[in-house]
Amino acid sequence: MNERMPLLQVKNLSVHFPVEKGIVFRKRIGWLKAVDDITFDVYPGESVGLVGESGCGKSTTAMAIARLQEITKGEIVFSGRDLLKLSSEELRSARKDLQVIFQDPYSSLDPRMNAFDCIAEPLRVQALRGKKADRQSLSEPAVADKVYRLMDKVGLAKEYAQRYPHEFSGGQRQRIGIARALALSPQLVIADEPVSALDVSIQAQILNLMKDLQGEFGLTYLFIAHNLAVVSYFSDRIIVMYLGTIVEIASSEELYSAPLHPYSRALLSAVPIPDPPQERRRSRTILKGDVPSPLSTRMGCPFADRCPDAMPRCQNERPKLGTVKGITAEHQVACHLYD
Amino acid sequence: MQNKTLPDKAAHKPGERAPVILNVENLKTQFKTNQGLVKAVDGISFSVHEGEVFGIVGESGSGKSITNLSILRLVPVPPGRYAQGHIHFKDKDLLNVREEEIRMVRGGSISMIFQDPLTSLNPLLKISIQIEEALLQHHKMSKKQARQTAVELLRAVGIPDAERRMDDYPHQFSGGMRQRVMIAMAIGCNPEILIADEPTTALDVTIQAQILELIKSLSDTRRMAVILVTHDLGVVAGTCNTVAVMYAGRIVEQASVDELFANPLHPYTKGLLASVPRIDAAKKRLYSIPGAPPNLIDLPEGCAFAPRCEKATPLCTRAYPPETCSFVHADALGEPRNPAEDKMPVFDDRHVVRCWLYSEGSNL
Repeated sequence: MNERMPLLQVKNLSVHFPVEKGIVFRKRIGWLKAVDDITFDVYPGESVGLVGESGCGKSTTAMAIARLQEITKGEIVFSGRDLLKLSSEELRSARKDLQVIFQDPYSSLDPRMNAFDCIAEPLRVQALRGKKADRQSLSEPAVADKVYRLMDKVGLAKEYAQRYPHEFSGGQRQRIGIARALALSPQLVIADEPVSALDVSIQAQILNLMKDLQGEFGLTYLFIAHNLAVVSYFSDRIIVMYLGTIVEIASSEELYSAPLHPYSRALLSAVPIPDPPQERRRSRTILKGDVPSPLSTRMGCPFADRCPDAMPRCQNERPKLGTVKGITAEHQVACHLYD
Repeated sequence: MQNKTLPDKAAHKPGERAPVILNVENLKTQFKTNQGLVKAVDGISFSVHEGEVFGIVGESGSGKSITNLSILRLVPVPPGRYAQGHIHFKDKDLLNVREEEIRMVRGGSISMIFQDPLTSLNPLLKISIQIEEALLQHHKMSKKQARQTAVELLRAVGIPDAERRMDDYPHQFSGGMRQRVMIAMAIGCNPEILIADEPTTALDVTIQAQILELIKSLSDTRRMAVILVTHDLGVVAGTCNTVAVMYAGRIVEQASVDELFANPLHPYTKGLLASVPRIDAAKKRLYSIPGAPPNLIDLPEGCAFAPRCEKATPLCTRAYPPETCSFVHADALGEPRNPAEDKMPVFDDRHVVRCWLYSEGSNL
C-alpha cells in the first residue's frame, strides 16, 4: 500500500453518548453510538473528504480527532504520538499542528474581538506558554507582522484589521477563520463544513483559497461536508460514513466512476447535476425511508433496512471494511456483496 | 365531498399553449430602515403557466423569498411596502384585493411551503389538527370528513401508516417526513399554484431527491403550477421548466431550463454556472465570481452586478440595462413530461436577459 508514514491514524475510534432518562433519578437507558469503531489514515499533503448525511457521525469524528470531544475507545495517532495518552500540557503543544476551521463563521468568531485579535490570539497563546526563544520570536511587532501577512494571504485588506466580526460578510468571516487556523502553521487542518453556510459564488472563492493555501503551506486537510459535489471537488480520497460507521473509502475519481457500496451509489445518484439533459438521462436510486435512529442497536449492516440489495445475512452480520479483489488496494468497502 | 376535494385537474391537451395563471408585473417591494431604503424586489415581471415548474434562483439577499411573500401579501407592512406593480391571478390583482379575499387565496388557490418544516409547524398541535384546519377553513365539510381527507393527503404524499401518524406531534417526524406533512397541508385545498421556498435546503441529499420527486409528480398529476425557489442549480436542472435568475432584487435572465444551461447569456448566470463544483466534471479549478453580493441599501443606478463583472463598461454603472428578448424555437409548448423523451417541456419560449452586452443601446 502506501509507502509514506501516515500523518494521522485513527484506529478503532468510538464515541458513544449515554442516553439518560428521568429528572431526579437519572438512569442510563442506552448508548447512542455516534461513531462506532472506525479506522482510517490520512497521509501528509493529501485532502481527505469525510462525507455523509446528518447524524452519520462525521462532525463527531472531527471533534474527537481535535480532542474537543471525549472518546469512548480507540487511538488517534498524530505524527507518531497517541493524542489520547498526552497530558493536557503536551496536548496543547500538539494542537499547534492540528487546527480546525468551523462551519458557522458567525458563531465561531468572538464578537468582541476584532479581526486582528481573532487571528493573533493563537499566536499570543502559544507565545505565552512557549520557550524563551518562542516568546521572543512572537513579540507583539512580530505577531502584527504575521497577522498582516496572513490577512494578505487569505484576501483580507489590511484596513479591515480593526473591524469586528459583525462588520464582515459570511465569506469574509470564513477568511478570518481560515487565517486563524493557519496562524500557527499547522500540519493538519480539519475543516468542518467550511462552505455550507456560504452562497454559491462565495463558496467557490473559499474552496479555491483553501486549495491555494494547501499548495503554499503544504497543508493536509480533513474536509468534512455533506455536499458530495463539494467534497469530491476538494478531496483526493473520500470516506463515506453512514450511522457512525465507514461504509466505503476510495479515491474521489473511483468513488464517482465505480462506487461499490449501495449507499454510496444511492448518495451519488441523489446529488443533482447542474446540467438538464444529463440530469434527465440519469438513472436514480431513490432510497426509501429515513436514516434510522442511531439509538437502535442492530447486529447487522446499519444500511440493511434501506438497502436495495440487502440479503438475509445483512441483518445479522456486520460487514467489515476491507479491500475487494480486482480493485486497487486503496479502495475499501464494508459490504457483504463483495465478500 | 371527498372526491370533490381531491380531483385531478382536467388533462391538458398536448400541442396547446398552457394558459398563464399568474402574472407578476413590475413588482417593487421595499423596506424602510433606519439605514435607508432597501429595494428588496425592484421591478420584476414574470408569468407562470398551468402545470409549469417555475424556478427562481439567486443568492441570499437577491429578493427571491420576498418575491414569493409578496405574491401572497405576506410581507409585513410597515416596514415593508408594495411600492409598485400588479400581481394578476385569475381576474384579480392580489395587491389590490381586500384582506378577506387574500385570506381565501392563501392556502386555498395558492399555497406555500417553507424551508424549515419544523418552525413552520406548530409544535403544540397534533398534525391532524393542523392539516384539518386549512380544510375546514376553505371548505364546508364536517370534522369527520376533514379527518378522512387529511388521512388521504398524508397517503398521497407518501407517509407510511398515515392513519396512525395523524395524532403524532411534529417532533415525532423526521425532517423529510415533516416536509411531506407541510406538502400535504399545502395541497389540501387543491391549489393552482404551490410556492416552495427552498423546500429541500434543510434536508439531506437522499431525502431531497424524494421530496423533489414528490413535488414533480404532484405538479404532473394535478397540473399544479409550482414556483420553486432555490439556490441550488442542480435542483433547478432536474426539476424546473423555466428558470429566472435573480440578482439584487431583479431578474437578470430568464429562459427555459435547457436554454438557460446550454446558452447562458448574462455574465452573472455564466459565473454562477461555472462556480458550482460538479461530481461529474474533472477537477479543474473552479471559476469564482470576484467580490460579494451588494448591499441592498441605496443601490446605485446602473447594473448591480457591474462591480463584480469582468465585462463591465462605464455605461453599466450609469444606467440599468433594458430587457433584451430572443425566442427559442420550441415545437410543443407545455406538453406533459415524457420520460422517454430527452426534453423538458417548454412553457415559455422567450429568453430574456438584462445586460448591456446584448442591448441595442450598448453603443450609445
